[in-house]
Amino acid sequence: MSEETSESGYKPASQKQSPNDDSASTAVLAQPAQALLPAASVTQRWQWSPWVIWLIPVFAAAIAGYLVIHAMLERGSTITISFKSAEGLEAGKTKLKFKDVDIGDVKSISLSKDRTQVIVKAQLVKGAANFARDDTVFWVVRPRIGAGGISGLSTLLSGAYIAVDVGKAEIERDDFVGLDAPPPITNGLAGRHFILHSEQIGSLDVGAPLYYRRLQVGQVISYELDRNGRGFTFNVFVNAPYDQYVRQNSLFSHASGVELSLDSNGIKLQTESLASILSGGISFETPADNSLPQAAANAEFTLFPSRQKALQHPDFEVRAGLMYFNESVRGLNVGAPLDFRGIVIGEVKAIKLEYDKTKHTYRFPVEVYLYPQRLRSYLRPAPGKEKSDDEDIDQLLDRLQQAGLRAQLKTGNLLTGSMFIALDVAQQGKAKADVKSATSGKANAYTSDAPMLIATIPGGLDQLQAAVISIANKVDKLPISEMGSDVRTALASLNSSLQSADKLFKNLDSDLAPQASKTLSQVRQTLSGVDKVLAEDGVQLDLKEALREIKRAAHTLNSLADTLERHPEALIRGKQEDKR
Amino acid sequence: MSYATAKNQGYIACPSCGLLCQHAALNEGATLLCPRCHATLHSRKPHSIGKTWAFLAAAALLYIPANVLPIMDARSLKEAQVDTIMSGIEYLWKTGSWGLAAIVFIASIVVPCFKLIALSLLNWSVQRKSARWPMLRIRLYRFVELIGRWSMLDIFVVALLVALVQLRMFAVVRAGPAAAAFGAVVVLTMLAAHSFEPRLIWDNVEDE
Repeated sequence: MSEETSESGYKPASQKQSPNDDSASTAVLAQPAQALLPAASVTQRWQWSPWVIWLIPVFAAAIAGYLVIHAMLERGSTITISFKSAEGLEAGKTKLKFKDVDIGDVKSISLSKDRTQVIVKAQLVKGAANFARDDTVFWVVRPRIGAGGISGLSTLLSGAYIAVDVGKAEIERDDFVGLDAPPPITNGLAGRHFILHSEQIGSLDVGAPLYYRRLQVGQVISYELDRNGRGFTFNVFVNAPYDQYVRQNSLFSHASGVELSLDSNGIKLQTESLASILSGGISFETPADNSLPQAAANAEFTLFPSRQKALQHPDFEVRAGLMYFNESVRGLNVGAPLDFRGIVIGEVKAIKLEYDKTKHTYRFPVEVYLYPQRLRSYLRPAPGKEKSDDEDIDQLLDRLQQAGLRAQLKTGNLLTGSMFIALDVAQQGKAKADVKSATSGKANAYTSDAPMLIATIPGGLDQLQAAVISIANKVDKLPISEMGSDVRTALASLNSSLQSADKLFKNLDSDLAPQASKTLSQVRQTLSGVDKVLAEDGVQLDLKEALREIKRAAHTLNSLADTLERHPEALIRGKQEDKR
Repeated sequence: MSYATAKNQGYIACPSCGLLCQHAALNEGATLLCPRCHATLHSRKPHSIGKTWAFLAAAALLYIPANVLPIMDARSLKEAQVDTIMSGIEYLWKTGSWGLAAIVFIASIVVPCFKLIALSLLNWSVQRKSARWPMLRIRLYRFVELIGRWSMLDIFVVALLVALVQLRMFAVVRAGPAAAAFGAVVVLTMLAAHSFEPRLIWDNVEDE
């Protein structure tokens, strides 16, 4: 470091140190001042290369690049979710959450081309890129009030968010269809799925509870109408500790709220828990023998319409029957029992109407299901006979038919008017004739395979009705109008007779009555005279005396006659003294 | 018309204490010092054009993340909002705070942009020794200098919010990566303005 200038910067710069050889003109101008100015001191100092400054933009570029690239990497993958509605969703604000952890946010919301769906584009954070599995589900969490409870309350303040349930599939996907409602169960839940088949959906819905001994052990995951449209297939989930109670012989039935049945047996009210009254549900039970193995996952079961039906003896053998009724089938419902002398052996399957063109009459074919097994369970061999287990149930039915099986509509419940079909075996000859009449004309329509034809006889009420009608007809035939005129003339003559009688009575009154009264008074006089005569004491006393005399005389005569009988000679000889 | 300048008269003024002194002959690697306050003396800022270009380039580079990345991450009970500068302005505009939106827009977008463009123009004109519109250019430079001190407004807002809004579960505001980038942009543009040598404008005019 060479100090060329002196420390005292203030000394007048008389040395005329001109730093550069500038033009003389400027030097002249500055000449007077120059003498007073100090010279700048020169120092030797390390100086940065002018290129070093370019490190700053390089550094800035590095930082900017890092920031941008980092942000890009953080961004993760973009997925598309379609929803029915974008209610509560907001681009740039709505979050995607898995177990309440942010895993992304909604970038844009747009409508699909056909305007039926809302397309939500969401950006997953970097770590959550592998969340987009094939079976991952998305749904919007909003405040929701259902029969099962209230959920999503926190979103009242925070706004809706899209919840994610990550699937397990290996395949990844980037477009999804969002669910309308939260999935009833999450993917990680332990338990088993089962498939139920039912004819009716009842009041079941997704999320409807599944009860085991009135304890909620699972729920309905999904349901769909079968492709043939004849029933529903339910997917239910039974939570882990309880799925062991689902055995191969478990019986599932609807527990849909209140079950009020009004049949020919009376009124029956059956309910499950309060929640199921509101939302419906399914209950299952397993028959007491736990010997059967547990049902495998996704095992299929029948969902019975009621617990009672489920518990009924499973009817494997079903035979169709057919009967024609001519009378009204009002009160006969599908499902009405078929009663064989008190034993229910079947039920009504369908009630139809048939029109006979030639006769212009209507009749009601009633199709029934016969459960011959039930008959068999009651069937016992007659005493003395060997037990015949292997007797064919068809033979039995045939024999019954041969014997003259016939059906009759009967009122089961007077209150509701519901009817049932009573089966009975009639007298031989008559029944056969009935069968013939029933089958005639129908033989072509039904082949041997077809339902068993059961003859019918008019029901009890029907018979009564017929009798009343016949009486009415007879009454109708009476010549009531003629009889009426006859009666009228008769009444007229009667009237005139009565009038003449009246006249007669009047005559009697005026003519006869005074004479009669005169006569009567005379008679009274005579009688009183007689009375007077009789009342006199003497006559009476004399009469009594005389009578006594006569009696005595009679006695004497009697003894005389006696004596004469014994001693007739006494008449001549007189009375002899007793010699003895 | 030409004026006598300190430079061509062989003088040099101290920027620190204002002492005018005579220029001394310089060898390679030597620097002049003020004889009174020992501040480094330059007749003209050395390498001012290159330095200005470097600072401008750095500022321009950082200007990208400052605008693209979120500057503020505000979480309240109701919602979590991540805003870039532009989306924040948009939000303010949409919610009806037009005045505020305009202020933030001017301070955060217009001013840095303007500074970058103005300084680039000035530097470019000086580099190619243009003698045109010297008054316009020097006014532009003064204006750039003037507004430089206000361009940290955004950073101040974010810093205040981050410091004040820390209500734990109810609301939290965090500064995003763009805040740092934006701060750097402001600083770099100020440095660029500082490294620019306005006297070069007049030098070119004199040389004409």
